[in-house]
Amino acid sequence: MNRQLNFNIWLNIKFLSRNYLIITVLGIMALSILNIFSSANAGGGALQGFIWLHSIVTIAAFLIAVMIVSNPIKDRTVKMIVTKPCSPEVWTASSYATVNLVSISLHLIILIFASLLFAFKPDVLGISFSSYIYMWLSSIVAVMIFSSLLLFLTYILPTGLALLAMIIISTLPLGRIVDYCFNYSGHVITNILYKILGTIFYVFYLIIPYFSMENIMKVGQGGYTDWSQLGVFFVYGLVTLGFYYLMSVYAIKRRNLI
Amino acid sequence: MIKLNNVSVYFDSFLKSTAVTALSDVTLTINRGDCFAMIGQNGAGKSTAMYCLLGLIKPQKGTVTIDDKEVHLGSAIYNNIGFLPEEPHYHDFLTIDEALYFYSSLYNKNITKKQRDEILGEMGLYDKRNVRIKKCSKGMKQKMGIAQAIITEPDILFLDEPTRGLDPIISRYFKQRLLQMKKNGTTIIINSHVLSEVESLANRAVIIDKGKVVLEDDLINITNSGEGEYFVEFEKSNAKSPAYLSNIKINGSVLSGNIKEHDLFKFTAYLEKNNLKMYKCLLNKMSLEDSFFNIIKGAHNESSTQL
Repeated sequence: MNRQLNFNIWLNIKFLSRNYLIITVLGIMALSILNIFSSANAGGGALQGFIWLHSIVTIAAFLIAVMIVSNPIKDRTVKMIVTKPCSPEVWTASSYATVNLVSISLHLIILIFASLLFAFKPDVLGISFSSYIYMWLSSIVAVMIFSSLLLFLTYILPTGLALLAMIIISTLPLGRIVDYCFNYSGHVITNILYKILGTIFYVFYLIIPYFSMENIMKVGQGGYTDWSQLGVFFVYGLVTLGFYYLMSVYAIKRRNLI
Repeated sequence: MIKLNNVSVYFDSFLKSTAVTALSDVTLTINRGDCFAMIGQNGAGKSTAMYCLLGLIKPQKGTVTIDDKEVHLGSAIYNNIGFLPEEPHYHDFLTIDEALYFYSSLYNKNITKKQRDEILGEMGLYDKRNVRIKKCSKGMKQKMGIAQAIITEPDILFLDEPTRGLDPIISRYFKQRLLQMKKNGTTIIINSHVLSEVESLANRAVIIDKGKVVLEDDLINITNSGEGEYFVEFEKSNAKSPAYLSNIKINGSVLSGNIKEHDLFKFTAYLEKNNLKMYKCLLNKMSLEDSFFNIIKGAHNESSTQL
């Protein structure tokens, strides 16, 4: 199983290296780094630049997620994989692993740059290095959660619809809807109906988190570094990833892979 | 033994209310070591049957088993399966050599670079091994497909239109290679429209029409089935020649003609009664193409009569 997983990751990396996405992302990142560097040299703040860098990585991870799943389904090359001793579970796992590997690699590039910047200009971000590490780790987990959701959507929907659904459901004010439903008071029957509706929305609220890179950055900016909370966030991320992985496997197994 | 047991496959459409029937209650049995051909018109259901055997399509009804185990993707049996798809759905961003490396690496077998180079050489692709698949011609893609299907020397080989786009030299080489594999005990399941190719490779065949099995038999019986005719040559006499003798020709003291298989006993009785010598009696064996046309025509007539 490891052998098949490794070779599928190898295939995905080959695919990404041969279309121009990764080169484009690295190019944009290099330009942004230069921009941050010159801005820091001129005595300006660099936090906005870092928010931008993390956003680029997030968008890149999303695009990679869409491409490595939709491409083999659209081109029907997936049947060349699953008719070998490589199960749909392994193929699906390779897509999740690839997205997170690329995301972590790109995050590492940012971290190396941030470390250098902190070494030479400790006050340039206006926050401590540990706060930045907190933001950085939060960003990795956030990308893991949201790329998992997008991967799952790409397994069940055409590319355009998957992206649209991702945008809609990740920006829904589910928390407010849940609050409204649970706090509603009126007729007994409508109360019950609102509670049922609230419970349904709450389930969605748990599995479809609201996403904002800016919020993550603002948490770090405020010097908020509750590591135990980050640990919970990480565990939640892993559970979410596992949940969407299993859903994706279920979806791909129900598909005719011809 | 590879089996489709009462398999039915329908393709639903989200927008259309009616489902398209691809296979209807199909039962097939393929013995290990057979070269089994699936013959039929376009859209008859041959590829669907092959995809069911490969586990790519889950039938709505019936079961698919290989050696009495139900087929499901990812099971150990796939380590002994080779598959050549009808359309070249390969990872076209890879080079030929990379694709062969990737596909063979998915098997739990160690395929060396030497083996890869050898098969690429056999297929006439060695010099083109660093060309990306997207830049290859249809024939080159087909050769690459064949190479990846046979490089692991599988026990079961699925071939969907294998000689499509191949040049005559590679086509001939491939046919010989398949005969060798068959001799070594490989089970070959082949879908092809080239009936002469099927005739030279297969020992058993199924004719599928409109998602139903019309006939499944040994190829020798299929080519002899239906209107088998004998060509006869016998001594000319004053006796009246039999009415069932057709295409009569006289050559000196020899009379020749064709008789249907069911009239053969009547004919020998006629010769005995008139004390005539028989010089030749040969079965006019039909080609698979002729048999296929007759069987399909018969099946269509039968279905229109039922209507």
